[in-house]
Amino acid sequence: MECPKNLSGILERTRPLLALEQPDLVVSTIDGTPLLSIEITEQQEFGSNSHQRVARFWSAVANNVPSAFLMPIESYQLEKASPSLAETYEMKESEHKQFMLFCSQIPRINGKKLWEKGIRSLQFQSADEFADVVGLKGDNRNSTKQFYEKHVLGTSEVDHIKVVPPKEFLHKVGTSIYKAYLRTRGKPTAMVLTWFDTASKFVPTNIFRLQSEYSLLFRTNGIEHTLEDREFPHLSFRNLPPGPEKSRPVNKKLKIDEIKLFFNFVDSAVQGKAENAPGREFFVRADEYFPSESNLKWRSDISRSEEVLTKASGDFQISKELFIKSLELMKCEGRANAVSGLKDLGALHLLALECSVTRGLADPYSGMLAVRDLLFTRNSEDPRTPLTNFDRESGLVLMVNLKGEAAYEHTFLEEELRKTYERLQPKGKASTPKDQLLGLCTNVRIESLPKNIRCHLLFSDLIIVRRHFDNEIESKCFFGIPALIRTGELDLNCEIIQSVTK
Amino acid sequence: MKFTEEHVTRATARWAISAGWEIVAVHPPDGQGPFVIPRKGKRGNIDRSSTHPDIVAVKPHEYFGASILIAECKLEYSDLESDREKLRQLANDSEALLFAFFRCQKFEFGPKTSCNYDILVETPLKDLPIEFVLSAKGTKASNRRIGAIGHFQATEILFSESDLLKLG
Repeated sequence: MECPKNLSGILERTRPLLALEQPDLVVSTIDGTPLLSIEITEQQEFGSNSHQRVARFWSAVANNVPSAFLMPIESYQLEKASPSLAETYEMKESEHKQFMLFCSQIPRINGKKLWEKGIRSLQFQSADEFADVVGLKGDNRNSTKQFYEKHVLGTSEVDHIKVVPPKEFLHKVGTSIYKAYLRTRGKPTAMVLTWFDTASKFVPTNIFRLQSEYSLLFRTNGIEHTLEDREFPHLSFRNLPPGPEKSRPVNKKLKIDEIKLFFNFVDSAVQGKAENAPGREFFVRADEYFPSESNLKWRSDISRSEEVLTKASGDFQISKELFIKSLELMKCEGRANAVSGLKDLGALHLLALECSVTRGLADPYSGMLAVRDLLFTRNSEDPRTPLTNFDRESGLVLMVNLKGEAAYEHTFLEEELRKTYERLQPKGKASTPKDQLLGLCTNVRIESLPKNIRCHLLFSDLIIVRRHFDNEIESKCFFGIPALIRTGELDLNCEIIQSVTK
Repeated sequence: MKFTEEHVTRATARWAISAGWEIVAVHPPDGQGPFVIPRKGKRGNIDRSSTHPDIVAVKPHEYFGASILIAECKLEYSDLESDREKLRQLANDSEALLFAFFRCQKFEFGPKTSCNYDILVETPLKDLPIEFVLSAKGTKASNRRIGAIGHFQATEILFSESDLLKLG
């Protein structure tokens, strides 16, 4: 059945799983005990959209419910070509043009320079030969060689999709030039794959890769669907992935396609015997889908407190001392009190966001925070430690930079928190944001908080809101739930924490 | 039983197959559309400022390789006017129509039923092999030509509740 926004009609045993956000599908027993949570997406990452659903998986892990995420990881894409590629399109049909079109799809190589050096083809039997000819060194050589191995030669153990042949790469449609290309994975997907690997140590939490077909390059960006299913007509035309044993296996050694693996996983979960599906380790094997973390630089180090003031968006690591200094520099309201929320923490993970419109800050930020919670803050990956303990080694600080219209109009966080408090605690007398949050935490379930502040308060130790007015910047600091637990002002038995799992 | 737009979309897809069309893509209500057409005058990422037809299908065409069917569906007949307007705009947007043909083009290792895009780009807008369908739930089943939308033939299909119940 469709999940309503108001969870009051949902069976009690299912409610905690839906408390942060509602998954695409939940398989449960007839009394509502969840057995499996499922998400399906066809969209490959664009910015942080691949993080959008992670808060739902976080809930599943916290509730000890296995979960599965079907996603493409790598696929084809159609989009307008850059002006430089459009110039290549305008070249006369020639060996030179074909060469340039091929080079445009291989990262870190410069087709123009290679052509000037007299190189006329990059078709080789081995990736080493290719790397020798293009002459890259160090990390660049390794990563480009690996790309060639996976996406040109197809010799890796994993079935990676191939680059688009030069003749199908660029097309003129009306007055525009479009490119049809292999969209590789970036940092956000690497974080999601790693998040799933970490979560799978707590409870089976697996990604299954939707396979892409070159024949569907232009029609559906390579994504396959079940169209008419004569055997099971009720599954027809619902935009579902293909059935089991209809796609190439992703993991060549396993010889089982991902959908079959997914259904095996579903079957085992339904029987209450879920185990992590085989072959998931390939998603995090160094250099298979993304380079190791050291090469990928998921976050930058901040070495001077002044830098915090200039960071509009991104992931950063900062020592507690430097961060406290930065609060001084920005004359952050509430800073003296806020420092207590950082006690017992070593370094901090700072997630900075920029917003210049007044829309709510729910998606994808809730998922982004859930990703950072598990990847960057935890003391251990011991599955016996409940996620809701927020036993953190590093703190998580959310810094929201509100600019333009948002600086003046946006209700995040103070106004939204106050309105929520007044609505849910009409007789309450708390006047400060911290006391209002404490009041809510003691008395209401997590799903009662609006989604624009729910995960933000649940996952962040501190939330800094910076309003960039025309003439000044106003900075305010707010406590999040993990900090209140650490300071002892909030008990783990409080209603809001309990409602995450009960 | 509560009917939704998805019932009408699926019934329309089934009708299209029975009429000799091969389904390329179905866009469920509130879902992710796999077949995106950029809108006129918009620049940049095609997933923004775009049209996502409910159903796209192709049928072999002797001269063009394939013709295209674009269908828009609503649960209630009274709500079809916005879809009619959407199709009207699409019918007058030659770049968008070309993009639909571009996505269904013939290429090596591509699907069998596909368009000869090189011929289509030289074809005047009014001669492009494209048909439109508007469909909804009706008190009685019906299927009638409703005249042209832009230059293109359009059909209005109404499905009775019993038709929709047969979907499974």
